[in-house]
Amino acid sequence: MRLAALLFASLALASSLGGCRIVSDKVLAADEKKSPDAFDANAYVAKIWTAPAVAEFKAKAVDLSMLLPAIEADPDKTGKAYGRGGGEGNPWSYEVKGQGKATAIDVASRHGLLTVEIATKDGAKAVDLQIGPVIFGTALRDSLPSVHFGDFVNQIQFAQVSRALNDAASKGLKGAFDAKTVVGKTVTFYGAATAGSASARMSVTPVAIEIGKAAP
Amino acid sequence: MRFSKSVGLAALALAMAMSGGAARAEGKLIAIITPSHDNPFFATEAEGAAAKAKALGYDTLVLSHDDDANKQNQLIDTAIARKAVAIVLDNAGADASIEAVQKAKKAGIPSFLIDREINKTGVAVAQIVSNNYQGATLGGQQFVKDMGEKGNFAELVGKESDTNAGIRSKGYHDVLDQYPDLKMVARQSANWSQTEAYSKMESILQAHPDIKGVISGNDTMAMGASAALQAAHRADVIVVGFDGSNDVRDQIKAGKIAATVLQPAYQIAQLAVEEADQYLKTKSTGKPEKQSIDCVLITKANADKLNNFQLK
Repeated sequence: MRLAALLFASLALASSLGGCRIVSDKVLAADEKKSPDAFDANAYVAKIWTAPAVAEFKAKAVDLSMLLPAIEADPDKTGKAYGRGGGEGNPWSYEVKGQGKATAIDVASRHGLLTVEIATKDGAKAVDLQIGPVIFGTALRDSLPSVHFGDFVNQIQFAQVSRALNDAASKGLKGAFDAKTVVGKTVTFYGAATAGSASARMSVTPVAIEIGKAAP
Repeated sequence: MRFSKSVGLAALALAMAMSGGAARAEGKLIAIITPSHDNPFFATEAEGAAAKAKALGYDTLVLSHDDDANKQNQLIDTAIARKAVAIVLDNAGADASIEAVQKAKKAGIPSFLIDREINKTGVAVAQIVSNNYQGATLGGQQFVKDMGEKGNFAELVGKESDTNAGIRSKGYHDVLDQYPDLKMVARQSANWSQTEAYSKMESILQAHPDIKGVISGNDTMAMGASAALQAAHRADVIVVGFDGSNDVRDQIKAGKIAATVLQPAYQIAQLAVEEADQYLKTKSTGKPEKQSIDCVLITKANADKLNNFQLK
C-alpha cells in the first residue's frame, strides 16, 4: 500500500514538474561537454583568417578618403551603401583601406594607437589605427559578411569570435613597422572600422599595415 | 473524445457569438512577462512593450516571474489559458526557459524574447538581445581609462542564476585581464541587490583600504557600493555600473559614479511588440531570429540625454 502511494506521489510529482527532464549522470556529463563554453573561437578564426577574412578586406575595402566625408555628410545613407550591421540604433561597420602620413604614436598605453592623416576632399582627416596589444571593439567581426550572431549559440561565443579576430589581427601586425621610426612615414593599411559619434576620431582595427607603399 | 471536443468548441463559439461578448473575442491579447518590476529596468521594459501593444490595438497582460523558472512556467500556462496571441518575454534562465517557450509554441503562441537570450534557436520567433558582452567591454574600457590602466580594484557580480551576470563579468574580464598592472583584489556577488552591495562594499573596503575602483555588474549594485564609499569618505574610488538607470545617471552627473552602460530596454521592448504585430499579420518578422542590439556607454558627456533607459 505504501509502495503504491509512493509510486503515485512520485508520478504526480513528475507530471507536475512540467518541463523537467530527468537524466542519468552520464547524459548530464555529455551535455555539459557540449556546453556553449566549450566553443573554440581561436580555431574558428584560424579557419577563416587568411581566406575569406583578410582576402575580403584586400578585395572589398572602401577607401577612407571617400568614406570619411561621406559618413559625415550622411551616415545612414553611407552605411546602407557600404557598411554592415547598422540600424535599430546599432552603428555601421566598414571594411576600409587608407593611406597617409603617420603623425603620432602612443605605445605608453596598452591600447596602442597609430594616428594617420588621410587626405580627403574636405581636408586632412586623422584616424587612429589600433596597434595593440589591447584592441577595443568588435569592428573586425561586425564588418565581415560571413559572421552572423545567429550562427552562434549565444552572445558569449559571438564575443569570443570578436576577441579571437582582434588577437589574430594584433599578432599579424608584429614586425609590420618600427614604433620608434614610423612617425612621419607614409602608411598604407587595410582594416575594419565602426562609425562612432560624429565628433570622435574614427578608430580602425587594422589587418594589414605597410610602410611607404604606393597608393592601393 | 474528439467528437465531444469539437461539439464543445462549436457550442462555445455559438455562445460567444450570441452573447455579444465580441469585444473579448476580438481583442487580441499580448502577454508581457519579465523579472520583478522592483528593478526599474524591467518596469521600463514592461512599460515600453505595453505602450506599443496598446498603440497597435492589443490588450495586454503584464506579469512578473521574479527570476523563478517554475513561476515562469505557470505564467506561460496563464498566457496559454488566456489565449494570448503573442508572448513578449524577458526570461528566467537561458537553459531553463527553453521548455517554457517550446510549450507556448506548441500551443500556437509565438514568443518574442527581449534582453536575455535562450540557448536554442528555432523555438522563439525572435530573440532581441541586449549585447551585454559588448556593453560590458565598453564599461571595462572606460574603467581601465579612469583607473589609468593600473591599481587595485574589486568586482561586484550579479545573481549567479542570471546568465547576464556571467556574461557581463566575462565582458569586463575580456578587457581588464589584458592589463597586468590592474589587480583584482576582491570579487563578490551582491545578487543585483543595492543593500547587499552596500554591505559587501563596506567589508571589501575594510579588507582592502588601498582599493582604487569598483566595477559592478549592474546599476543597483553600483548605487549600493557608491553609497557605502561615500559614507566611508572614499568618494575617490572609481565606480562603474551597467544598465543606464536614472539613479546612476544622476550620480554620474553629480560626479559620484564614473560611468554606466545603457541597455536600450524601452527600444528593445517596443521592437519586440512591433515584430510580434508584423509576424501575426504576415507570418514573418522580416528579420533573423537573433538580433543583437548594442549597448551604449554613458558618462558625464552624454548623461544629460539619458532618461528611462532611452537616449535622446
